[in-house]
Order: sequence, then structure tokens, then C-alpha cells
Amino acid sequence: MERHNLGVNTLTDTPQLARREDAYLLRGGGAFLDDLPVAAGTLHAALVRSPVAHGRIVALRTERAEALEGVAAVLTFDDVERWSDPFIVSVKTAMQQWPLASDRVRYVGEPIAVVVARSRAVAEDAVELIEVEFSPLPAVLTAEGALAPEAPILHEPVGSNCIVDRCHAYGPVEQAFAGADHVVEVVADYPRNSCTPIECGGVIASYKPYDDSYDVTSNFMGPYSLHLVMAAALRVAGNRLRHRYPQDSGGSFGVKNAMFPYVVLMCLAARKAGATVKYVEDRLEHLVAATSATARTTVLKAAVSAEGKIAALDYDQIEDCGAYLRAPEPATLYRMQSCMTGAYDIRALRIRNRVVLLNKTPTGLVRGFGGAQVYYALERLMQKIAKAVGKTVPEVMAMNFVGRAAFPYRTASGGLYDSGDYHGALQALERSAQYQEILERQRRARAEGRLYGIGYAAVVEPSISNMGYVATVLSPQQRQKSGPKNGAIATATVSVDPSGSVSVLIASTPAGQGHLTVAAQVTAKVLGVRDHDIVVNAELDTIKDAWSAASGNYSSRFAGAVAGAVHVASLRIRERMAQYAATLFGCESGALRFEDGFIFREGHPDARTAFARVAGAFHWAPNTVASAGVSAADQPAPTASFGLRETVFLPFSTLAQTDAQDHINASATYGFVLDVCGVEVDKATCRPVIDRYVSLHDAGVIVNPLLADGQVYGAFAQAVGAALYEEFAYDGAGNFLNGTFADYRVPTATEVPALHIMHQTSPSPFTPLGAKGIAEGNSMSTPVCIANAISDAIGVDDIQLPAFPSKLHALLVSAGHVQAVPARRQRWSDSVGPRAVASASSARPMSTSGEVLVDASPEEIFTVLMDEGRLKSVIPGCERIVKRTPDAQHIVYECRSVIRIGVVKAGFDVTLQLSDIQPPSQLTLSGTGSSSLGTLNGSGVVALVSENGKTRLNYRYEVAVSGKLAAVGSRLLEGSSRLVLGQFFKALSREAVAGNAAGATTRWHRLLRWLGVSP
Amino acid sequence: MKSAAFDFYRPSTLTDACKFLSDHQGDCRVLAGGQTLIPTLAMRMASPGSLVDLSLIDGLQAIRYANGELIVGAMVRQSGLERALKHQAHQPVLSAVLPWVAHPPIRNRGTVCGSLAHADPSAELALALLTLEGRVLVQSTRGQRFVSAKDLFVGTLQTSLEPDEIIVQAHFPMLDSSAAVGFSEFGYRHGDFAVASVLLVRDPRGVRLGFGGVDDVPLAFDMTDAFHPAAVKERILELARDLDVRSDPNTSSEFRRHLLCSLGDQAIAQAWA
Repeated sequence: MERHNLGVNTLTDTPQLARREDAYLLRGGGAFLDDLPVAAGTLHAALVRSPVAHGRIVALRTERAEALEGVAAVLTFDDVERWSDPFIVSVKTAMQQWPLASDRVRYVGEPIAVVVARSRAVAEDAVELIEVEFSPLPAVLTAEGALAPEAPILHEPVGSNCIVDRCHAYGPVEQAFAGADHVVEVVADYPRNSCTPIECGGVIASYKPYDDSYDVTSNFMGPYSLHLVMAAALRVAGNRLRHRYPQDSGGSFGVKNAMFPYVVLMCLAARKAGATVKYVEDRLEHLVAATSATARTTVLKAAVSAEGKIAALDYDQIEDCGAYLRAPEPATLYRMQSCMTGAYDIRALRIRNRVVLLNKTPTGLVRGFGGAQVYYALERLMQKIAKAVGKTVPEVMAMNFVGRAAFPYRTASGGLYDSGDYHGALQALERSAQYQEILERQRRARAEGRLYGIGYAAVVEPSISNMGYVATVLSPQQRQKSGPKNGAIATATVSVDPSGSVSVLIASTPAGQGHLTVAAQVTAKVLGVRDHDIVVNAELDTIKDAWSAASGNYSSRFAGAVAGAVHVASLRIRERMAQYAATLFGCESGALRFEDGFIFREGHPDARTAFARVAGAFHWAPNTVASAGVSAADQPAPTASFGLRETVFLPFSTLAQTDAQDHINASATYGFVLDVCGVEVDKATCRPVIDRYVSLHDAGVIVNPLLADGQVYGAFAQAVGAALYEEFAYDGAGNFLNGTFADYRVPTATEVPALHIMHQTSPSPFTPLGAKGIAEGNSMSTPVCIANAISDAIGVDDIQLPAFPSKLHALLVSAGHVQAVPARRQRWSDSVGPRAVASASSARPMSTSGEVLVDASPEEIFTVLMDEGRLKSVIPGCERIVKRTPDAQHIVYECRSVIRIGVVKAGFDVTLQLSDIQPPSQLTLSGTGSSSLGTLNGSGVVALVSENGKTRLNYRYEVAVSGKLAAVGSRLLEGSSRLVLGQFFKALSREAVAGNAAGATTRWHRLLRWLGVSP
Repeated sequence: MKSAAFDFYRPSTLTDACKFLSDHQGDCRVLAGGQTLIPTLAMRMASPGSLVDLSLIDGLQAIRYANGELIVGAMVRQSGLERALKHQAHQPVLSAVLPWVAHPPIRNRGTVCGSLAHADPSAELALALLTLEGRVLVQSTRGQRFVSAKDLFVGTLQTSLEPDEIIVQAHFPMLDSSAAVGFSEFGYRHGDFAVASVLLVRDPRGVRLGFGGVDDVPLAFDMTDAFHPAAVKERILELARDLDVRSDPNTSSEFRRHLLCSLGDQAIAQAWA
């Protein structure tokens, strides 16, 4: 990794200060939720989750589970309704969300019941004993489908699947479009994905009936504005929901915000069980049902002059928020409201925001939150504008960038960009050897006929979210009613104990970023003590620690906000100590220097006193300190507090609430990222290969360069995932298809290329340290930068992320870069569904067909199908079978069958149905099987053709699989269904041959009579 | 641990293992490396009543050569074979494919015979055994028998073995010292299941060609008539067009056919290098 500091002014003299967290984490000293000691008698929870995307719950039978030895309780919706209220939502709506499904499930994985038992294994045993009967409803799976007039409505009281439809207009938009030389438009579909922490969610909860309070430890990461949401749901005051955050959390990236419904759920489970309950989410649960980034369809138009100057932007955004609008959504849309014009000086802006609910996992915070979606449209647009006006992308960027002199710059929609030098950054990038090399490598590659493209992206990276921005979704009248929300309070406490040692407490709920390192570093610098002598604790306890609504680990707020609060608290401690120390030296407090554990009088090398001695006086000799005249400036004697413990609540005064015209400054600071990359699309494998990537950041003052670059690398790696590897996939019925890391493909070290990082420093005037956030920039810039490069490489505009090789193959073929290898015979399965190209929106039934030549007549085969006794030996693993409907046109069998596919084995309750019976040539044979692993549905036509005394039996099937089977086995489902169907028809053929020997004709005539057909 | 409860049996002889498996037929699984079985149990995709663990049985760890075959015992880990092959060069096919089997931590536990028994259509070791025309030795209470690779793999995750049979050895034929091998695989990430793979073995008898990941089982083709790279290339193109190439949610059949051809080109380049 190389770094370039363009005039960086770092805070510390030891810029590569090592992370203090590493030593204990690498030696097994981490204390993650699952490592924590729990109370004696703690029980364990497992969840019953919906295997279907949409359906009514017709029956829920828990008796067998409750009777299982070791089960303490089963929590169902009735309990939830008795003891809690629906979650508060950010908009006015009739939609209700509870921690358990009420009478209807709306996404695969939605919790239906909680089993509490003495171990997780027993709880899981009991989960398998709970029977849920669903009456299926059609699933709504795309935003377009959700808005269609005939769409099934998820939340009937809402009356529509569109829960938000708001327009915001800023500046002379109509005028700008009327006067434009070009109107350039892009349509961008951002897919569902996530950032997946290595540690999933976890909750330990208990209920104290004697004071009606809950005590929870969980890795819920904040914002603690949701503490109120949880307490309200539990019908208790905030102080009766004690929430504690463990020492360590194994990654969060926004997604552990979505733990809050589980906190409430486990509180209720603990209440029902009368014991402490522990729940640790497993990987399958996490991928299926924890959360997702929003999928967004954006139509973005720009009014552009002939030279390429943009006068106006017009956004039409449709946001897929999943099955429920879960707080803080629709925050993904509104976080970016202040910077919808990106890094460009555009004075006219119109935005239409629609939020739709559909049958997928509810969305929420995911690193880059909203930025990836907005810039995916905006920066694809910049490439298109450059093409339209015949200029390079950097030329068009430079023409439109906000100028250096304009900062602090007020955007059209009310954002206040604190500082920056976008033109300077572009020049620095263009001058860099790395950029010149990319240009050269493209020239060389193209000369050799290789597909090499260059992509650019310039993004403004907001950080330190305004608590009031989500209210922009409300109308001004609604906002008025709900009262003001603004600011972004950060808290920190610094104290010095009687021995003179320093402790820092922060409410930043770290998840591996190295907050402890930086907090110590900041305090050490101010107080002149060694950083490793300082203890930092981030185990937030809402009853004992200083916290506020904005506390938590999100919106890249640590360096700018929390480290700033630590800095301010440390300064206050130093000021107090300096007042007393000054009396010892008989000088002004301003003449003192804190360094190396001593307090020096400047210019008097011999005048020094130990830091610990001065600090000790505040504890051991308070009267001496008092008589020296020390007091906090704003406090009158004799009640003045001169203890050495300072808690700071830092508000951020530039963060006002949304005004009547919907202007909002949604973030305190705005960093800048400028990326360029070279990507080659390999014709042999259709794989996009990132050849070079350069990322220039301006995040103000870099507090700790090592950690800052770590954040850049981390965001980059996850963004490479979003661009090329990761997408939550659903089939046409809403079944979730990638529930393991084998199928949800997070890039590993091998897939993430080296990154060249450059820094520029424009200190923020609005934060104590001049720092801004840096952790989300690449989450916003990298997906679109890669998409731009791929588009440039293959000359195709319509690039869908993630750019899977299979999708690129289709584009390469249609663009003539790659020759198709057509199949000589059309596969039946290819002729039915859409092409088997992965996409969350692809509704692709699995199809399979086969043929067997049977040494028996079609009539004999028919008689087997009509005879339950003989069918029993045909159905794979059939243990018992009953003929249910003796109706000639509709024959139904119910059976129990144990199906094995490789290691997987499960008992299914199968209903087989014969219909459209046309003896002896054709019938429709469909089957539905349900098990604890999910359901199997197959329907197909079986055709029988007599051929020289034998029968050619043809079957064509469409198969749908739900639940765990779909989530874990999607790669092999087609082959597995082929296997099971093959076994069935081979067995059918064997049975027919065996029966052919005797009595076939008699049986046939009997059958025809029964069917009412004359022979 | 979240799997359902099961009985665990760790015998010290193969005879005992077979006896136990036979006594618990249909409800007992063989545990060797556990790289598929254990996650399957944890996810409760299977809940067998018992497991029979092969790890303490003598003699199953051996790798040896006899009668022109490399014989790999049931408890030989994939990384163990990988290391053993570094010291000799007579089995270039296995040396070529083993680095493509998942990731090193999985190869450290996963066994060669376990991979064959699992019969994943993308598995490199199954492709190697089939293309080399190898066989497995299986044992049950009824005795031992050989099953050739072409009879072993019958469907997705499906072998022709009886439920009470254990693969105790895999026999990979050795190659002539003049043999040349080409292997090329495409996976979405390093260590992923093969989306498609092409294996070419070229020796004085002719050219054998293997395809992984394209059908429900690995496929092998004998091409005694195609000694020239251009003829092999032509044959691969024909097969890519003729075969019923499967699709999955991430991969179209069209793309797999394209991959067969380009992976084929890479394998040819290696085999004729």
C-alpha cells in the first residue's frame, strides 16, 4: 500500500500508531457477545421463520414443541400483542411492524415464533415440531410489480404498496430543462446487497417483573435514537430498558442496526420464559432475513449545455424497502438529500421519491447508506454527458465541480459542504504516475484488441448524520407537529483518577474500527501522557454511561464527532489542571505545556511537575485546589465542581432541522473521493478484471493514517463485492436463493486488487479536530467507477450490477465481442422461462425434462398411476400413501416420503395430484411436498407414446423449491430435481414392466370403466 | 452445536465400521473429513440417527503405488495427497486439480474419498478419477468390490453405492511419463465450486477429455481419433454445442458453453505446451 500525503497535516507525531485492539484480538482476548458470561439458568432461543415469501398463517400449532423435554416456552404473536406495541415508523402510515409476523408473513425468513429451551439444539428440535399452515398469496418482487394497479397489497390498511410518494423541487428546474442543449438520461437499477459482518447478531435479555424492566446485552450498534423505538415497543420508559454493548463486535457496517427487532423479541421471550434468554443469529438467518441495502430504480435526467455544463438534475427514485418500512427507513433515500448534486455546482434540482413495499427482507443501514444508489445513477450520467458533448469525463467533471472558493458551499437542497478542493484533487490525480499508467495500459490493451476500459467517479461523502434528516420525508405540516429534530450529539467522558491515570469512555459502539486506539491517541496528545497508559472503554451501558440519541457507530461519525468530543473533554480536563498547576509556578495557565507525563512552564526548563501529582491533588487535597482558586469558569464557588471527570455532549450547530422548503443539511461534514480505475473484460471468461485502481480522498485532517487507510481498504473491498460479486437473489416466487457464503459471494483477499490511495487535506471548520468521515467513500464511489470502466471497455451503456460474468457474456455476445456457442438442440427448459441469467428480479422457474423407454404398454403405465398400492413402490422413499379423492378427473394421493439428495435427507408430506387425465396418452401429474427444510412443488405433463409394443414416456416439469432447500442448495437444485423425477419415472417404468406379465388388459378395462371412458 | 442429537461411533476396524453401518442402515452417515456433512448437520439439512467416524481406523491414511495405480486410503486428506504428490511426478492430473479443490483449510480436513462419495458435479477429484478411468474399492459386510468411476457417478450428489458401503480406497491410474495434462477451471471466486472445468490427458493411447460442472455428473470422452490440438478444439466445440449444458441461478447454459470452449483452449495450450 502506498500513500501520498498532499500537504497533510496529521494530528499526531506518530502517524502509524498501531491499533491497541490488535494485541488482544489476535491473542484471543476478544469479548464478543457469544463469549460473555451469562447468568446461571440462561436459556437459548431459536426461531421459527417463514419459508414462503407471502402468505396467510392459517394455523400455528405449538403443542408438540411445548411438550418437548427441555423446552421452557414458545413465544407467539399473541404474547407479542399482549406485551408490546408495533414499532414506531418514520412516516405516518397504517402499516404495522411487530417483531413476529401477525396473521400474515411477508418475506422469507420472517420470524413467526420463538422457542426457548435449555440449549440451542433442543430449541432447534422444537422448532421442527412446530407446524405452520399457510394459505399462499402471490408474491410481489419488483418495484414495478409493486406499483402495478393489480398488484397484491402487502399491508391492506395502507391501501397501496407505495408507502411514500414525495416530490422536492429546488431552484428553477423547468427553466433549466427548457433552455438545455442536451437532455441526458440514465436509468440505473441498484441491486440488493449487504455488508456481512463476520460476527452475526446476538442478544442476551432478561425481564424483571418486580419493576417491569428489561436488561439487555446485544451488539445492536445504534443509532441510539432506536433505543426509544425499542422501549416504546416494550411499553416501558427508556430507563427501564437497560441496554449494554459488549467490548467487541465483529463488524457491523450498518447492518447491526437491524438487530433492534430481535432485542425486543428476546425481551419478550425472556418475559415469557421467566429466565434470561440468549439468542445468537446464525449465518443462514443473517443472510436470509437480517437486512439488505435498498434496491433502487432511478431515472435521472440532466439539463446540459452544449459545452457540458449541467444546469439541472431531475431524479425519479423508486426505493424497494422490503416487506416493512423498518426504522430508520426511508433514511437510505434521505441521508443523501443534501448532496444529490454530488460534487457539482448545480442550482436546480428536482427529486421524486417513491418507497415501495414488497415481499423481500426489510432494508436498512448498509455501509455507504444511500450513497452507492445515488452515485450509481449520477456518475453513470456523467460518463454519458461526456459522450454526449464530446469531451472526456475529467473535462466534464472539472467544468461542473464546486469551486475551491465556494466553501462552505450551500447546495441547492440545503447541504452545507464544509470544505474541499475538488479541482485540486483532479489535478493531483491527473498528474499522478498511477493515472498516467492507466491511460498507457489502456492504449496498449486496445492496440492488442483487448477490452480495457477506464472508469471515473467523483463523490461527496457525507458523514455525521443530522438526527433530523429523515423528517424531510414528512410534509412541512407533519414536521411542525412532530417537533424539532436536529444536531448529531456525540458524547465522551475523560477522567483522571487519584493515581493520575487517565480513562476515556465513549458511546461509539465500535465494531473493529480501532476507536480505542484513536481515543487514547487524542487524549494522550492533549494531556501529554503516553497513549498506552490511557484506558479506553466503549462498553456502552445506557444506565451508567453518557449517551444520547445520536450515539452509535454509523455515518462515519467517529473521527469527526466522537474523537472530537474526546478532544474537547480532554481540553477541559487540561484547562482545569492547568489552572491549579499555574498557581504552583506563579504563571498564567496558558504558559504551561503538558508533555511526557509532566506539566512544564514554557521557557523555564526546570519548572515542571508530574502530571500525576497535579491530578492527585484534585482527589487527595481538594481544599488546597479550591483555595488556589480553581473553579470551572461557568460555575460559582462554593458549589463549583472541580473533579477530574468531564463529559462532553457535542451538538454540531450547522445541523438544523428541515425547513419549510425541504432544505436540509443532513450531515455535518462532506468529504470528497475521486476514483479512477482500469478494468479489462476478459473475453475468454467474461470476467471483469480490475487492473489498476486509484482512490483519492479528502477527509479533512486524518487523525490516524493507518486506520484511515484501513477504512478505505475495507470499504473498497465491500464495494468490489457490490460491483462484481454480491447480490441477494430471489426466484420468481420470492424464495431466497443465497443463504450461505458459497452462494452469496463475498470477495476474498484473492478477488480484491491492490488499491493506490492518495490523500488531500481540507480541514473541516465544523469539527473539533478538522476531521471528516472516510469509511464510506468507496462504498459510494467504487461500484459506479467499476461500472463506468466496464461500460467503457465493452462499449455498452446498460451495465447491471453486480457485473456477473454470465451477464457480461450476454452483453459481449450482443456487442459482437464474443461469438456465441449456440446449442445444436434447443433445450426445452431454455424455451420456457427467461434466460437463466442471475438477477434478483429474474423470475425463472426451474425446468427439467426427461424421457424413458418403457417395456410396457401406455395402458399399463396408466394403471400403475391409478393404483395406490403400486404407486407406493414408485414414489422415492414412500413410507405410506392414501388415495384421498376418488374423483375421476382429479385423483389425489397423500403420502409420506423420505427424500435424500446426497447428504441431505428429509421427510416430506407429499400431495400428488393427477389431473387433465387423457388415457392412455397424457396426464398432468403435480406434486407438493412440505418438510422442515421447505417445500417442493412440481407440475408437469406426462406424455405416453406407444412404440413397437413399448412406450416412450416423456415428462416436462417446472419445479419450485422454497425454504432452506432453496437458500442453501440453489446451485444444485436443478440437478437434484432432475434426479428425483428421474428416480420416480424409472421406478414407474420398472413397476409397469413388472405388472405387464399378467392381467394388464383386465386392469386397463377396469380402469377405463372407473374413469367413465368406454373401451 | 445446533445439530440434532445423534449417536457417535468411532470404531478401530473397518469391519466394525461396516457392521455398524449395516446395523443402522438408512439412518447412519459415514464421517471422514466432514467438510460437507458437518455443515449439513449444523444447518439441519440432515439429521441422521448416528455417525460412524473413520478417523481411528488403521490403514486408511495410506497413499501407495501398486500395479500402475496410485491408491489413496479413505482418510487421506486432500492436502495430504497434495503434499505427497510434490515429491513425485507420475500423477500430473492430481497435481493439477488439487490446488483447485476449495481452500487450504478445507483441504486440510476434507478427504479424497469423501469428495468422491459426495459426487458433486463440479468436484475436481471426481472429474480426475473419471477422466483417468479410475475406480474405487468399496467395502460392506458383504465384502469388498471395485466400482469403476464411470459406474460410480449417477446424478447430482448421487453415487451408485449401496447405503451400507464405504469407499475405502480410490485408485487413480498412473500415467506414462510422456503424458501431458491440461486443466483449466472457472469459478466465480478463488476456491469456489467450478462453474465449468476442462481436463485433458494426452498420452500415447490418445486424448481423454473431461468436463466438470456442466452436467449432473462429471463427463469424460475418449478421443483416440483426435491427436491434433485443432481436432481437440473442434471436438470440444461440438460437445459444447451438443451437450445438455445445465444452468443455475448465476450461470446461463450459453455462458457455460462459451466457458467450455475457452477453458478448452487453455487446457489444450497446456497439454501441447
